[in-house]
Amino acid sequence: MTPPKRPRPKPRPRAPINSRRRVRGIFLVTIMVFSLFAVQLVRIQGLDASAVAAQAFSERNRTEVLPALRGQIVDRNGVVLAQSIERRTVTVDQTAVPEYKVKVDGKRVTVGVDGAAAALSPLIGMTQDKLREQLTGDARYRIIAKNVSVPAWRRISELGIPGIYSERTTQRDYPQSSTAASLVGWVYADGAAGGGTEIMFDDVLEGTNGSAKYETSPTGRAIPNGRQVTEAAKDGRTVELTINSSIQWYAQNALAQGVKKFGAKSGTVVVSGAKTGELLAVASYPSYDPNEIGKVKGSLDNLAFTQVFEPGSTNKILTMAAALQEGAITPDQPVVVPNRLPRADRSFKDSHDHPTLFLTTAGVLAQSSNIGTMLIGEQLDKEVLEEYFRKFGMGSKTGIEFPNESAGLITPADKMNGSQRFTVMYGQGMSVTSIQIASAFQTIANHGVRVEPSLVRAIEDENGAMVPVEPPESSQIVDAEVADTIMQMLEGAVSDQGSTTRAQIPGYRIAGKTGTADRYDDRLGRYHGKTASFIGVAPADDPEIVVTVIVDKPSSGFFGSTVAAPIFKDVATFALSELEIPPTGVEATPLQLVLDEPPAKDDPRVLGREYLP
Amino acid sequence: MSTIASISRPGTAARARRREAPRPVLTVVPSAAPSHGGMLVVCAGLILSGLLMLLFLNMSLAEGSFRVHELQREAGELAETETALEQSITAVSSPASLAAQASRMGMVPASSPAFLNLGDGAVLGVADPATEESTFSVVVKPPSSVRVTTQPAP
Repeated sequence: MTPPKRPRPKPRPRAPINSRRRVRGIFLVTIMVFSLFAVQLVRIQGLDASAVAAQAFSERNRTEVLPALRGQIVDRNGVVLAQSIERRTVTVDQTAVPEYKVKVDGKRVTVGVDGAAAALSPLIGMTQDKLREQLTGDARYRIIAKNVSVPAWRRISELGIPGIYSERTTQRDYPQSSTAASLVGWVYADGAAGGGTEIMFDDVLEGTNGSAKYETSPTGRAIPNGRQVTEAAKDGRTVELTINSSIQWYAQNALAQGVKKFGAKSGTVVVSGAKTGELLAVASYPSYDPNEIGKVKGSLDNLAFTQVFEPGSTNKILTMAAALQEGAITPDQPVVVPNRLPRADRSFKDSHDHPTLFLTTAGVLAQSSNIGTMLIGEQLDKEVLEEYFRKFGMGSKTGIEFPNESAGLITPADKMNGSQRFTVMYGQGMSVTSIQIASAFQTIANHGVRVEPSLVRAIEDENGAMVPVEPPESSQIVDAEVADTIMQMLEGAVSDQGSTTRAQIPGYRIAGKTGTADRYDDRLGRYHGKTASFIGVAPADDPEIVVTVIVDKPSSGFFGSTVAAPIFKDVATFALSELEIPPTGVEATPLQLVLDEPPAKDDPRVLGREYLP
Repeated sequence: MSTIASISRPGTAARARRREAPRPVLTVVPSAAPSHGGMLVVCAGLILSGLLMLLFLNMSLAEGSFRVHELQREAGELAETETALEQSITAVSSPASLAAQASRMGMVPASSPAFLNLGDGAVLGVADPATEESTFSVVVKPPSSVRVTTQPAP
């Protein structure tokens, strides 16, 4: 029997084999893919890690410069003379502006460049046409406005115009405009100091810029928990000057009026403290507006420090002080003043022709006689005279170290030519600055004690406290009696018997000296025009202020008494009331200036007795 | 034979029976292990709450950053307003603009300083009234920013 045919077993599904292969295949593919991943991973994480990380970081990292504000320059009462203000520079990405949309009646409408120009125009102060030109194109970066105020930038920013960005900057602002310009100086657009106090104290005033580093999303918003590194900007420190800004303005204004009225080339007014040597005002004309430094024509210097001139008669007080200190003369010593005096190779004369005068030495100074001064000065060796000039600060810089400051010029005694030995006695053949001659008068007013002129009172330290600077050096140049005698003589100079009455201030005793000097013109190489000056001290009996007025080359009226004395009176009047200096009320004891009769010919004390008629 | 057959070939019968009976269906053997349902819920809950917490954390961080931004903006605005006000005070109180305003109001400088001593009522200095002749002009102008804002009152 044949066994029933076993049904042939159905071929077993080949699944086990197939699936095994498939699994193996999938496995291989997966391995390959993952190997690729792994290789890439190793490449990115292992080999190029730092470079890739740096690239990613730089793509999301943004660094913003936080500009430091330059320190302030303030006057002695804290009035701001120069300050820095935060400003914005508005820039544009021109490719983004056409997307500008605004909501009109609840619908967003694309207004593009035209809309942006219309919205920005009033905020930036630029015509729409010009703005449209600035906003159109494919530049990714362009500056459209500088020195935009921060509130204005805020309004611009609120418009939400795409592609409009800003950068922080600072702007230097001078609220007193041209008043103190030549003294305070200026800074250039890039923040570099350009002149005056700005240069002198650049290291103090200059701050250190800070920076803010943070990570941003592709849309530019800061990532809240991203890395942030902020280095705060360190603002510059404050410098406090000795200047009184009210007096400074008044002096500048009076000087400007005077220079214009007399058609002069330039002028300076220096107001200094008689007891302290502090400069309360240093006016220089012509001046400029430091807020618009680009438009300035001509000199940016403060002429009181930089311009030298032959002082003329105001220098006679030094000759007189030297002669008194050396005991060569006394205040009441008779002097015979002829109309002409032959000395060296020249015949010297006074500003006016006159008959032979019989004066005291006090009268010589009060009436400003050149010949009388020469008769007094020749009692001293020229070396001695030079030494006194230098002791009073002539021929050397003041120590203020003002930019471009001049030292003036005193010819050494052994190099003086024949007539120069005599001309320097009345202030010709030598040159000084306004500050130097002001300092000489301060010495006389301060009982013979010279206090070096100073311009700075205090400087802010790292902790924000104002630290007074070292007090300036002072030294006794002549005896107090000598200085006080000169002051009495100078009171005579502004009296009815003196060289001018235009400097008198009702109620006050004023001491002062006129000067009308021949002006040496460097360009022509010869004397041309005059330098008119008046230097006065008030109150004469208890000196508080010294006012020095120098007017360079006036074209109408050239005497110090007519040109400079009225400016002195104006400025001194204002300064006295501003500083609240009342008159002392002490009566003056005038010195005898003019002799009643010719002195006796045989009196050995009489100077120039050979000229007695 | 049939018996024999039936005896001797039981396998056949069984096979036949088996052939007749439906093949048993493969079923999942019920597990003896305890159910993981509770655990799953706990895990899911943990993950969900973690995610939610993360979300809230992020939201509060973002909100904080918005608040910081807003406060910084406000502080900046106030500081700028202060600076702007200070600047305008500085400009208006500059001697040049004060003098310009004073002369516009017809004031002239005193011809001589005088002081009143409150102790004894004495007048120090000469107190003469100013005359119209004491002209005064402001040559040194105030900064341009002031010139614009100080128009004479209508």
